[in-house]
Amino acid sequence: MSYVPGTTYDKEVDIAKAVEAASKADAVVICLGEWAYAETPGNIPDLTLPDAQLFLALKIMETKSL
Amino acid sequence: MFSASLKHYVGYSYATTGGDRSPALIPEITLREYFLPAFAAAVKAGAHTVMVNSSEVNGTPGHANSYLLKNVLHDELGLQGFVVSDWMDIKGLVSTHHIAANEKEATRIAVLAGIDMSMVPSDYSFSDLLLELVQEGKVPASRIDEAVRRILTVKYQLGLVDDPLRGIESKTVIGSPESRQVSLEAARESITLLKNENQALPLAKTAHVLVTGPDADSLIPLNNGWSYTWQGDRASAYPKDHATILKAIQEKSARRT
Repeated sequence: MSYVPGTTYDKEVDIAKAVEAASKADAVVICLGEWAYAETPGNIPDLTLPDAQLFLALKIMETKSL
Repeated sequence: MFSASLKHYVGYSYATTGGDRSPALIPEITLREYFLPAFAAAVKAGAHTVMVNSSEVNGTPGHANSYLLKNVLHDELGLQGFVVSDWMDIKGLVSTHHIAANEKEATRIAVLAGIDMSMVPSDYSFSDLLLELVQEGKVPASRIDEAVRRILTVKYQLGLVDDPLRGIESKTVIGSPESRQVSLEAARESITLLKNENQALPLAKTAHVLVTGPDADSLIPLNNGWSYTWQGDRASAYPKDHATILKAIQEKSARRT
């Protein structure tokens, strides 16, 4: 198996490297999500994931025929 | 014997803005038809304490609402125990709700409205200011007697006066193998598999798997808020021997390249 971070919660780290590794892998486990929070600090106006994470997922999906 | 605390009285659940601690507008008939019955039933079932809504209902902060705390909760619903503030919410009458000029004024408003116990673990200003207020005649001593009587009554009922550490033996349950097993089962039963096209799962142990993404090698998203810390965002707070998603897949994978 291999591991490439791809992004932090909201910034690219090495998406190109992740995409290249994805093209050689049998399967990809993409772990996306929000930053941790509770109560009022978690009041957010939008449920959309940060652009960097969405971009990582989209570029990896392009390497796989679904 | 144990004690339940009802929270948060009342209207905290009515998050019309979608945010935590939304101010709520609740007509009296709606309050009585939808919001009070659960509290009434719990009080009737013997709940000892009630924690107050940090936000406001109909423009009045929960911690300053004598109608809801005294007339409704005690006189109508018949609460026998005591009312406790939420975290630092008497100070919140100054900093959040702006209905008091300073903490001393906020303390007077909250105690007279029906707050019997202040939840502030980090300083003693509540006690100091309340003592001043009583000495100055701004809060009657009979109100202190009333609150203390309620609190001590619950402590007597729970057996805490005879044995302050009553129930301490139950700490051995925390983190025990049995508890861990329950946690594991709860976690497994919480997983939602939306699709499994072409039998993608389970992954073959011999498959070359790429693990990627910001949540792959972190315990923060696996625990989150109200777990090891309030916000759950401090990586150093988590046990070093717990596996992240990456570590768990590494341990299962036959091909460790």
